[in-house]
Amino acid sequence: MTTKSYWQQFERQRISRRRILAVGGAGAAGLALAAACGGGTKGPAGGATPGGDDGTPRPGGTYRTAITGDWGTVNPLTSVAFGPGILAKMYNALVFQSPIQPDVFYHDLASEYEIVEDTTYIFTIRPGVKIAPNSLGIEERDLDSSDCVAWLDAITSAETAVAKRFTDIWLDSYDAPTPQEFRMVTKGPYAYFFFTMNTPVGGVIPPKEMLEMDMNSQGVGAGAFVLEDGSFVETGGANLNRNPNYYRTDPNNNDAPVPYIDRLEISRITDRQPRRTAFIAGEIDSYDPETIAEVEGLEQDISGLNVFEDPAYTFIAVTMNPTKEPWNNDKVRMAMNHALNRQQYVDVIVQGAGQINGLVHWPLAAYALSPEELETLQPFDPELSKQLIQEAGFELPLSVKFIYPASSDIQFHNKHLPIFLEQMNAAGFRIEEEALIFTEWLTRYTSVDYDASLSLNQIYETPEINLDFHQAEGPTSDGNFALGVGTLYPEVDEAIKTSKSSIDPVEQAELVKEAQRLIYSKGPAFLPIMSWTDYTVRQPKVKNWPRGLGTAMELWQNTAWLDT
Amino acid sequence: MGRYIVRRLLQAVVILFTLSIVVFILLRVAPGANPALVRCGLNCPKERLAALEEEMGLNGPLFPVSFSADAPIVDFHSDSQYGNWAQSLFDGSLGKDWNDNPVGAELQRRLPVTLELLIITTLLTVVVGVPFGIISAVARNSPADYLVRFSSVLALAIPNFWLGTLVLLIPQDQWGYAPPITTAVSFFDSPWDNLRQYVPPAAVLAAVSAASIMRLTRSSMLEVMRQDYIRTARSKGLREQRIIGRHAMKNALIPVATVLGLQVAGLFGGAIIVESIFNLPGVGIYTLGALLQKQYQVAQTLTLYIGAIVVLLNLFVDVMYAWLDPRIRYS
Repeated sequence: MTTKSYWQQFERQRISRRRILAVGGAGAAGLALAAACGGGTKGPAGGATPGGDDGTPRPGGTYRTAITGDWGTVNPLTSVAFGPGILAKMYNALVFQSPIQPDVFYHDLASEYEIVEDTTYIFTIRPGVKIAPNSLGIEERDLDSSDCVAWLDAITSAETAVAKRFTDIWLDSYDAPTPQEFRMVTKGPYAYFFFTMNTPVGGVIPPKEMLEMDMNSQGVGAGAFVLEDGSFVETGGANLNRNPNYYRTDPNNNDAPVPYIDRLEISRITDRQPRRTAFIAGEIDSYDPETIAEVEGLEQDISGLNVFEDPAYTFIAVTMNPTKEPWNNDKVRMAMNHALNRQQYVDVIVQGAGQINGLVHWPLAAYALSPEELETLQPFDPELSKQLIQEAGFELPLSVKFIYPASSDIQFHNKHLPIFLEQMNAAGFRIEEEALIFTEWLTRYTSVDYDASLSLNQIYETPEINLDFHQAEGPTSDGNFALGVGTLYPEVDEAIKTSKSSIDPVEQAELVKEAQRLIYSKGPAFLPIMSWTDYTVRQPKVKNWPRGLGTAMELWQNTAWLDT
Repeated sequence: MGRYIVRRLLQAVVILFTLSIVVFILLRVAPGANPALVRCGLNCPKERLAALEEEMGLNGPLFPVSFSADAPIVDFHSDSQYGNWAQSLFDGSLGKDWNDNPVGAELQRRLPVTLELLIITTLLTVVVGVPFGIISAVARNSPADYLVRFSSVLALAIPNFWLGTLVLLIPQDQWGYAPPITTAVSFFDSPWDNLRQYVPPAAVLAAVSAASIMRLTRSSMLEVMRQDYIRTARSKGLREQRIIGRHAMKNALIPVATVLGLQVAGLFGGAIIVESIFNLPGVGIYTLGALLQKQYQVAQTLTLYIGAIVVLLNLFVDVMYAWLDPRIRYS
């Protein structure tokens, strides 16, 4: 059913020196990083993409898929909705680091990089990254460092740019000493630099000419695909055609040019049932089943179905406001920690297809605490919960106010709630429910106008935001969404800040774990419950689709092909 | 009649103006998230949120005129949210959504989809509802009558979202069949695929409307068949078919025609559900999306647009009623 990922063969072959460390924890992957070389750290050079083990790839064919909502534009500076899904196909990043396998780098526009004194990143711009043919009047030239400069100029001057948060907090300076060299200097060592500044959400680099044009509904770059003129509809679909100028080749297939797929057709199908119908009828090539039972049903309907299982880098959490009673009491927060039977959510909601979370969710294996350690830090113990409530000076049951959306489209949100309410009743809490319509709940959650709430779920591909929820000013560092236990214990903020300050992945992973242990000792106010397994199924004709890399990294891969 | 029409049109202007104010205010006072927050996405920093609010024009005055207790008591604003929206209606652009996409262009793309859906629905409603209503009336208390009446009650009772899901699910499950789902197929590009795509959702919508028309036709026919002139026609020796076709039907269908016109207006609401289930990119699903995402400009414009259609349809029905029944005269 599932095949072994071929991707691990890549990049590591090109690293001349490395330090390999074993990391414990569920699903852990080995960590490796190029060692120091002279005064800085040279990153591995990239350039080619591997073939796969599904046979000899053939060019051609149209891959059809569907999105479930609006694009939110295809503007590389501001798009946060579905747009980033194709921005990685249209544009380029410098170097993208897989957040879930930190030793895996994707070298795109930069063939090499060097890190000097942990804050200066020197990128060597790869020659031959050529802009696609287009009707926008942009010359089919190679991208160079001036495009990188223009890109950062645009971000730093646009109030609505997604990456502006990074540039405001972390970026010190940038310049282009030569057309083939681009330099960025951070204000301090930043562990998530490669992910943050190279993610499709705000981190892709358009040609500088595009920055002078309307990028909301059109665009051309040097990526693997080019947006078809007039095909993009904000509330509809989009078509992309293969970029004939794309620079990458497949070294496992005699350096054949990639992408193999000629065309991507993306339609919008909001409802699940028509999406499923379209997949079974062969109108689209991928679909997202909700449960393993649905996957098994589809396997019976479609022989040779490709099934992909990936951990969902998302979770729902219980959020407490530590500036309000009784959540300002450590023991009460600890009581909540022990009142949660996280395994029950896994068993009931996803029928066991998932695992419980610590403060960093289990899919981020390098950073998550082991199940054994979690058992000591957050054991389910409703009697202990009651005891802690009483030790805190409250009588049982302890009445607490709790807001939640009465109905929500957030995946599994509605299913978490009844389990939560039942567990709290058994553990000494009496929940005073305040059910709100979703948008009103979102407003109050955003402005931290609550005592306690379920959280939004969102995709957390690094541990950064997980931990930021525990800092005094919350995940956005400005008091929105949540206030962390750092409001009560400044050392928590210090530990979180320290965990971001190492660019050595081994050291950094340990700092992240130390920060979690400290937070547990203080009584966390943000408790992720569980993460589940996401399923994607693809038609049998789809070959060589990358596996196990995480959503963000997968977007950059272009060696899939269609056996039509 | 001319004066009547002019008077109704003037009333329509007042109604639509009032509707515009009401929908404008309701969208802003309704509880829910700031539209800038919806657009900004999750983990949105305050600075970015503020910048988006400014870009989306959410910080400007609501109306062109405002009142305050302090001087100036009356203040005029050239750049108000309502004023900008009204201007976009009059200049034909119909405004833009938060991502700068023209509403007019979207309407142009989506209206043919909804119109075709409604036309086919109306045709099915008439083709199914009227004949079966007549049969039911003529063969009163017969097995055919009972069957037709039972079917109509069943159709009225079944929710159309459930019916629509079954219409999609059963053929797919049993025969591996599905209509085109990913994109809207134009009739001129492929008539067969177009009909495959539109007839099932139209049939789902028509189930309820046909049932209503069926019942109305039946009762209307029964009433007409009891009239003296029908008895006279029979006593003159006319064949039953001629009596029904020439004399009864014409008069029985007058109320049916007027109700049908009003039903079309109501179909806009039902279209949202079937457009969603069958993935038809029509006006209904566009409106729903705009409301959910707090797309003020889009929601306001579409609500006003649909309101205008309803008002004009009502006028059309009233005028047609007078044309169908010469006894009706409007002063």
